[in-house]
Amino acid sequence: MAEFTDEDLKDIQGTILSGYGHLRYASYLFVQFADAAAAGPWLDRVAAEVTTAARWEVLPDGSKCKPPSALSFGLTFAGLRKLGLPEDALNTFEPEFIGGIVSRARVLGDSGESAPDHWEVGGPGTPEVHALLVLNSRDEESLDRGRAGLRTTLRETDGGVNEVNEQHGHRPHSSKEPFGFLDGISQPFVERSRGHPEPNQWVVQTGEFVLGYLNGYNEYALSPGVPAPCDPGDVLAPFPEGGVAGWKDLGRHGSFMVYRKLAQDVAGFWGTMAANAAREADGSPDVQDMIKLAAKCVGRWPSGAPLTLAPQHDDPALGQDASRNNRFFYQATDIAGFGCPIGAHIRRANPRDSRIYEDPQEAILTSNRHRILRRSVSFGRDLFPREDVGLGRIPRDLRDDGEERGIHLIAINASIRRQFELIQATWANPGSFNGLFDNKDTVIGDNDGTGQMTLQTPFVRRTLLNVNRLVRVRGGGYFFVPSLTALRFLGDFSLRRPVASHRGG
Amino acid sequence: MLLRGQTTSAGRPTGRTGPVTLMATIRPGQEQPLRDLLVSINNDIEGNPYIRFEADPFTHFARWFLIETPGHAPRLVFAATYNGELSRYVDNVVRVSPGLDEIWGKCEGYTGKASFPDFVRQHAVPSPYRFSAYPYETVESIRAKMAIRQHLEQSFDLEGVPGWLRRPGIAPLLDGLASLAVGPSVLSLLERWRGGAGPALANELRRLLLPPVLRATKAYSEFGEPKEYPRLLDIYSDPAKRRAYLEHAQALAANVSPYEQNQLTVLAPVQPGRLLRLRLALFLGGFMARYGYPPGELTGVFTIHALHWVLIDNGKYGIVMSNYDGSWENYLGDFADKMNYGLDALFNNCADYPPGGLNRIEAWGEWIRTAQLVVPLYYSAYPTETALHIGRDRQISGGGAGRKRAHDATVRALRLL
Repeated sequence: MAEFTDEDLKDIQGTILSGYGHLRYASYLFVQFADAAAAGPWLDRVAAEVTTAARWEVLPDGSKCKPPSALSFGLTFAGLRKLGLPEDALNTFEPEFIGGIVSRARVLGDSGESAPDHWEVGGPGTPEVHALLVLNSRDEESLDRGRAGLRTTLRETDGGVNEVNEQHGHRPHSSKEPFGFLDGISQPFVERSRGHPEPNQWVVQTGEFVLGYLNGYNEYALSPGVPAPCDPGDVLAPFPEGGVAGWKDLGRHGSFMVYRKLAQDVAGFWGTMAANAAREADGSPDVQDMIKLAAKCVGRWPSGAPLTLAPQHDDPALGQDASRNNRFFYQATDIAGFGCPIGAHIRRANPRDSRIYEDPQEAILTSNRHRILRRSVSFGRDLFPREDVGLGRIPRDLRDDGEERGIHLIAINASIRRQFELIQATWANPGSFNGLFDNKDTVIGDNDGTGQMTLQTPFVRRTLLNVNRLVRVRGGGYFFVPSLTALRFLGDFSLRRPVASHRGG
Repeated sequence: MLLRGQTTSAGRPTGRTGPVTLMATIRPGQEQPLRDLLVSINNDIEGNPYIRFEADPFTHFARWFLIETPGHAPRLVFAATYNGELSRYVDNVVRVSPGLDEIWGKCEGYTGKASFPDFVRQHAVPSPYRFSAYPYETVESIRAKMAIRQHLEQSFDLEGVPGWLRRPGIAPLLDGLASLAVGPSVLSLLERWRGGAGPALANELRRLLLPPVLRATKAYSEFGEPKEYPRLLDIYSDPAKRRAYLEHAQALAANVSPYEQNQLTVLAPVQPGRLLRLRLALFLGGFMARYGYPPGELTGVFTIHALHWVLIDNGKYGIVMSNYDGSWENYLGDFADKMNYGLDALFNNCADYPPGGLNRIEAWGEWIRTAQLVVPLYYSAYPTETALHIGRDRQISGGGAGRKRAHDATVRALRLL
């Protein structure tokens, strides 16, 4: 399979193809357009700043010249409408994107304290979000500088484009998430990307993540379009397969991005483990057993070592070895879940070959049709050093301090419905996943204190009872990630305003 | 909350499960009141004064919906899955429906409860295709087995029990028992079927029947017909159609059940001249569904409780009704991944079927969603129970099978509960 051309790469936003592992600090700037005319020139400026997937320059010593910062950009449906896209064009987006993340609360299990009514950003009680700027930087200072620069561009619109919320965070050097586990291990390799996949890193069809290419079903994911008269400069490409008469492809080289602010109840998480763990002689919970229970819920040990390969205890060498820590399947060695429980987080978010009663190859095919690319950083101060978990140390008298901590999750996919939503709604939330009873994902499921987590053993299963919701949703949004071409088109378009005959209807 | 079936003077339902479908023309001006009534019942399944679902031991699933086809006044369709004889079922419906007059009285031809059996005979529509994942279970037997499993589950969670079971002296015994079990899989019923004469017979049936079925029904995916089809779904050229689709999709999204189980109801026009082929596909497909696959499985899919077709208006339309587990998106994915030739063989006889059929999941998904109906009243007797769970509950309860079978099932269930 051919790689992307240099021209393609310069048109695709960099965040789709790179996790920017070297850029550990991130700021999320949520903005609102007061009027489309002011947004136009601002979008042009943004287009000039957005980091593309263009190849990194190779220095004389053979190393790659990695960018010191990266900017990504996305638009909500409300933002696209505000820019004046005609209704016929707006209607070519997926219904789920049109409705927006708030309208999907029931499907996603965003209820109770996670209901959009309580959100800090993106909810009905907060200002409408039209666009999101994601800035990734090496350190706090450069993040501050970059953010100040973006705010300057906003000020210069004289109220035409306004910041409505800002979130920020960073990924620690340990790459541990706030519960203390290595994060971001199993990412699919996008076909046509540069480089080579890690062993057992699945190559997933380009069209699962980049619009305009064939996806896992060997067809094109729905891509938004605009009537050709809206594009008098012939900026946008035609649709693939000979095109659609009278329409241009707005989505080509673009994608969709889901933002979720997820607050993690660290005290609650370890409290759940403590309540269910074996006891020491003095009646206190056995810390090693707490860590084992937590690893069972996650499916990996704190080091990242998968339980399927290391069922008894953590194996940090395995966890840190990218060539081995994702090299496993379930059916051959762990079908019954004695290592990695059937309901463990990683066995839901990416079931690999473990879908019940399926031929392994078919199961993998199915799993790979529902993948996301994750780009996460943490926020908030640690309740206790998260790295301590990997060292076998957890405070015995852990109490919540009332502060919020967690991750900002960015999920990239070509179809929000078929990828992000399916994972949350069909694999993480249902208690009946893969034939289980009353087992929701302990980590990201919409638990309500009545369900359980079952740890399969050769005979009587072990259970964690009355599992509460341990990750609360604090904000969210569905964003269209336009190509650079589409971004410039949208900037020009909002200046010109749409042709009357293509509005409404 | 689950409704508990009660044994009443109508007696226990027995016999194979099957579908019944009634269709009657709505009296002029009664369409909206009927729709409102159905919605109000749906909003209060347990407390509504019209149908006492909690007293109904016969009905596994039921749905009421309205259809409109050219040349006909709007009609009410009622479809249910029940056990045994239709006459007994009709008596049961009358018994548990204090509001029968309010519902069917809005339809022409209904003259009262006393003559409801005659009304049913006159308005019943036969099903040329039917599938049930557990054809000899009744509502009561399913609930009883669920209760046994839940009781077992609670027993293992009693204070002290988990620790006792893990005591050093107990573990070797339990491990020894566990080692008697064969294989790590969980659905021993399926394994047993696979280990017996079933697969050979089913394979032979498939070998003999599938080629002629596929040839006769011209299933796209099997023959690669048509050879070329677009890989891009054109949602652009007809903006009015797209608008209507989006509105309909919104109504369908609001019609999704909050439970594990869901329903799919599709009204699809049959292509002119293709009725005979559709009938053949339904006959052969129904035969395969009944005899060609292990219990609980329909071409590799384990999420279907029941499925049936009816043909109406002299074969101008087909109505497809299924009960399945999980999200629509997942169900659709299962279709595309595993049931493609079977569904293509049936549905490609319908109008506007996308060339390429289930090879094009976007186009196929839009086609079936367009044909999907909003169902204002839907009932399941055990809405939180998946088809897989029902299969497993049967194992736990033993079902009168041999000691080893009951033991295997229990061992496996204990790992999962």
